[in-house]
Amino acid sequence: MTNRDSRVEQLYREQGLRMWRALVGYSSDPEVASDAVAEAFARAVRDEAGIRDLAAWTWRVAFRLATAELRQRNDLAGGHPITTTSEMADQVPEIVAALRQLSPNQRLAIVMHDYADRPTAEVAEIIGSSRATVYVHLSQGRRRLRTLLEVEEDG
Amino acid sequence: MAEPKRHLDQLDSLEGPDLWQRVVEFQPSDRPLEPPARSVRRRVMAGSVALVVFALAAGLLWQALGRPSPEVSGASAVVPSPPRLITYRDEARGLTVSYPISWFRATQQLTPHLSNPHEILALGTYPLRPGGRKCAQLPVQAIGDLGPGDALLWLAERAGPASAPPRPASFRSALLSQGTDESPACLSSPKDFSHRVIAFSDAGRVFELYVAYGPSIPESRFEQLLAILDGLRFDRST
Repeated sequence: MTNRDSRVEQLYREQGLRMWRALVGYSSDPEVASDAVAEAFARAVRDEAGIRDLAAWTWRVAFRLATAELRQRNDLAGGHPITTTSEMADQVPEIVAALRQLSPNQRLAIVMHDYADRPTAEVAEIIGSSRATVYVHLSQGRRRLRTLLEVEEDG
Repeated sequence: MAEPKRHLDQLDSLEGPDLWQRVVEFQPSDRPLEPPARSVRRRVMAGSVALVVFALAAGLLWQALGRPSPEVSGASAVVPSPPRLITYRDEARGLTVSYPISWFRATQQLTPHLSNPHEILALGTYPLRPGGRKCAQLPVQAIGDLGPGDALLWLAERAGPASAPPRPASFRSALLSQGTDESPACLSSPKDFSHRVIAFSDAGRVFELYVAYGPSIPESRFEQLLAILDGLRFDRST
């Protein structure tokens, strides 16, 4: 293990699990989350010399990889809704089910900003929009999520 | 926002895998990352282009009306992309294996009390835990953790004089036949799963392979299991 690896490994130890959980919230699929986290950190090990903000870079790459995978699956499924490939046993939190009801951009904004505490500027860069648009996604997503969770609790 | 935020904390209850080993072994490709979503301006431009293309296509269709329609070819097949692979080389044990990045390789012996045969590889579609209460000769804990859609392979090598049939060209038929090994009796509770032990020789060495998979394993995952087994390469015994 070189010093270069250890800086990336330190980031992995500090944020890897949170990133994985955020990606599960985004993709509903632990397999997609695992692949994205592993590949993002592997790319970070390879390209670390040219990366200025390692954490921001790795979060961005992981979410873009997950987005690419989900879009590919969606294309293969002929535009039908994404289905998960991995079993999450009986422990799927209701929040994951609720998040699936949001649009991809709302879901991404919510898990990155509200769950993982990443800045809106990072979310904007991943989505490819302005920060103002991210605030709209957040506002709409929170409102939708609140409604969904209230319904589930009432039910 | 307090309510959704409180619910988002449920994500903290998910037990994630330790992926660092995969990070170290992973050879990242240079495939481009998903580009950001298109801006509104680009969307307008793309929409305009699409409109022009649509108009041209409609014109051509209009001209083609009345002519015999061309023969329609068969439906296009959707070909899933192959999974990203890790190639693991174990110099000490003289083996090379390639497996999808979503699989887990045991980093410690699943059968810590077994000396001959000696465990040299264990792979599964889920985190593999060592040990088990009974049957030191099998990865009982890992078998107990096997889910309905999971697969497990465990490979051990016999030391000393031993013999076994030559390795088959493919393990497919061996995988599809039901085994008669004792693994179900080693579990603390009954379990529905397919399992078999396959003894074979290759490169002057003798191996025991234990394979198990759940009753609802996806076909793609079964094919991954088969590809891993058929792709195993062993150094010749010296």
